[in-house]
Amino acid sequence: MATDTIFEFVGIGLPAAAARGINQQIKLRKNGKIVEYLSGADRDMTRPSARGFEFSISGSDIWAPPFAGMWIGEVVTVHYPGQFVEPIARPQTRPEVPGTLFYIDAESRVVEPGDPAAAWRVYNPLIIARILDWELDEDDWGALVTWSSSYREALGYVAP
Amino acid sequence: MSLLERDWAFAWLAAEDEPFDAVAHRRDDLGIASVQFDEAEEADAHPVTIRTHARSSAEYGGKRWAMLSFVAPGGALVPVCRMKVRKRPLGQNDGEATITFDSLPSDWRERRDANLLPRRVLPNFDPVLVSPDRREDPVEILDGMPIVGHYDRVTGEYTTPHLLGVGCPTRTFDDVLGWEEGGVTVEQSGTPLAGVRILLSAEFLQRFDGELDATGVIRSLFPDGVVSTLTGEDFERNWFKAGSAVNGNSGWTFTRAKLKGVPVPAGLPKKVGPVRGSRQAFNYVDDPNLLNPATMSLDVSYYDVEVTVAYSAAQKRVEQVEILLLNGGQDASEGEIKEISLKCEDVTADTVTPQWSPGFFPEGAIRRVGSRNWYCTRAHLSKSNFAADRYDIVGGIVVANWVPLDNDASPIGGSDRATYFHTGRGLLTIQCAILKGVKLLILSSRCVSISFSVPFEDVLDMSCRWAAELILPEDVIPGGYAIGKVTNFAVSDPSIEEYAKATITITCLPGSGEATAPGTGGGVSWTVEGWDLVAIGDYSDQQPTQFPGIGGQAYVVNPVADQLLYVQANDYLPSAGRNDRETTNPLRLLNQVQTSIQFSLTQLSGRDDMVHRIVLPVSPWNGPAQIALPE
Repeated sequence: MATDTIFEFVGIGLPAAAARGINQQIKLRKNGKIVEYLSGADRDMTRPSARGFEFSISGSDIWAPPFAGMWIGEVVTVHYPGQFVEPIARPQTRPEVPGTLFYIDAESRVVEPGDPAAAWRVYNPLIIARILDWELDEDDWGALVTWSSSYREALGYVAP
Repeated sequence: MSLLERDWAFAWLAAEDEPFDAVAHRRDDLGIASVQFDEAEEADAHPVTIRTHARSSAEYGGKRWAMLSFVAPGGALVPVCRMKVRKRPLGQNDGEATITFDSLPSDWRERRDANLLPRRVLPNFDPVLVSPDRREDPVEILDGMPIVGHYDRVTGEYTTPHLLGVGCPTRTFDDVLGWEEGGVTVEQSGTPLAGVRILLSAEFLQRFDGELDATGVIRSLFPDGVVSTLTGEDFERNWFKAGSAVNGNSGWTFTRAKLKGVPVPAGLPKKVGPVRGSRQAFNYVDDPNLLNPATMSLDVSYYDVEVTVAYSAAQKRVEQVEILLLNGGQDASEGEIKEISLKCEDVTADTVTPQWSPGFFPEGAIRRVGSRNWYCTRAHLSKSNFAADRYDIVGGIVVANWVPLDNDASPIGGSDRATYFHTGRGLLTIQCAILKGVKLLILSSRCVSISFSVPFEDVLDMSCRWAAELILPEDVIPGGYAIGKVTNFAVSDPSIEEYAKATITITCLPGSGEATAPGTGGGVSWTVEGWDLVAIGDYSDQQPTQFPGIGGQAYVVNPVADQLLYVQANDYLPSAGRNDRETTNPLRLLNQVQTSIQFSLTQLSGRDDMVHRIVLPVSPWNGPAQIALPE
């Protein structure tokens, strides 16, 4: 079903009128430490295999996303509603939500794929994540559902 | 999931000895959430604890051995522990399981013994100082050695690193993780011993046995070398019996006592006299009034004798060596002086030479009988017992099949020795005792512990078999320098929010580091380092009292001349008032002066213990300056 937002659970979908006022925050998930030596020198002791994201998505609309039946730890594939911006010289961090990838030049003008002026890659990432939590707050009089949810990327997850 | 740098790999093994395979073992059969393992110097097994998600026990069915590996920076898989799951319930809590393994090969005893048993060499190990039933005990073997056993986490190889890290692979650290990661802790535990007083003793029986031929001596006591007496009948009756003791419990025995009457030798009198007797007693004389004494002569009996005496004695000796081994390290004077007492097993026991038992013996064979070794002089098939086998008659001549040897293969070298600690072998026992004392000094002096942390990936090959050298600011460690053996090596990687961190503890010995030169009595050390040498002074002037010389004198009581004089002085002479016919009877008088041969020999039995004490001068043991203690 088409929605007015990129946000969607792959294979589950999202009702219409569930994504107004959508808001998202994304950050790096915890990974190792930057340690400091006696001399004051520091050292990156993070793990490449633990490089991933934690994110939360919230919104207010008539309907809630289909959270019922989604439990903590369940793996979902999320069309993340925010955009990643990367220099095209670096490999793409995550696969893009189909149809969301485009390029811009140094002046942030949209350019065609393959254009030598393309400097940045912009896309909505497709992230496989585990549900950490969700919450619904329904205003019956106002016919408004306020919802929030949080996720952590499921690193190394292999679908059964 | 592919494993990347700093990830742990866990692979169940089909068998304990499955070789490490960097490709096949690059997997995570458990799903590791955290890892913790500890190596402690004093422990054989290294425990490994892994936290994973809960699963049914059926999933572990038949799985015992596993390989824990770590993906090093650069991507290479490095084996960390070959380990066996402990047979105990898994720890399960809220979806998590904690599994504990031990990194120790199943044939650890064989590996240990294969390493230790060949190392039982003097002076590092002296069997004389260990009871026979404990000579394969690792505790006893290592007692005088400044080493400690260690099993490699992956290969299971058993090695014996030096307690001070001498000869160990060494890694230098000039920077370690900072205070938020634990920093560096320096602790001093205990007070070093000021010294060790070693009381070393050996108790043994000094045995003497042999024979002396007294024939010549006895003959020389008589005129012209022929045994003679006027009381031949009594002389024969009282003659020595082969097998009887000399002078009671003296330790001497007659082994041959031949007495044979011989005709009057040419030139020697058949009779001596005159002596007088009452005619009432000797009425065959021609005085009808029986008033005048009858004069007569006395018959002299002559004999050929052969006398051999054997001696056998066991003198208990107690030989003691007192050694005060001082600690020459820094600030060691305030500690106590520990006293250890070491007692030697029987140093006269020859456990090398075969015991005699019936059979064929080639010439040159050496066999042990009792406390003595015997040399076979001629090839022969033995008789049924040694006593019978000692001699043979060949062509009518007695030949000895066996002759006793002065030396044997016992530590003391021969049963008649008066001292053990003055022998070369005894010096090795002294050196072994000193090494035991040195080990006590090492254990008490290795009192400064320094713990620090580094990323595990920097020390993947390190273990308690290693030494570490720290070059850090003086406000971190005293003097800014320390070196010591690794006594604890712990690795923890508690969660994905942390990292694999190795916490290493080294123990340092604040010795003086000064070299010692060998003394006149040499020296002893485990390593070739000058600070390790204990110089031994001269003690050759402290010799034990020697056993009194074995032998004595023979003398004759009442030889013929004395007998005659006695009779003549007391015989029948009424003019002198000697008119009792009975008491003046020359034959009766002779009974009072029977000829006999007496021996005065060294008293061999029943003697007090002979105690000898040696005060052995030795230098202090200085030890290495592994850290400088603050003034």
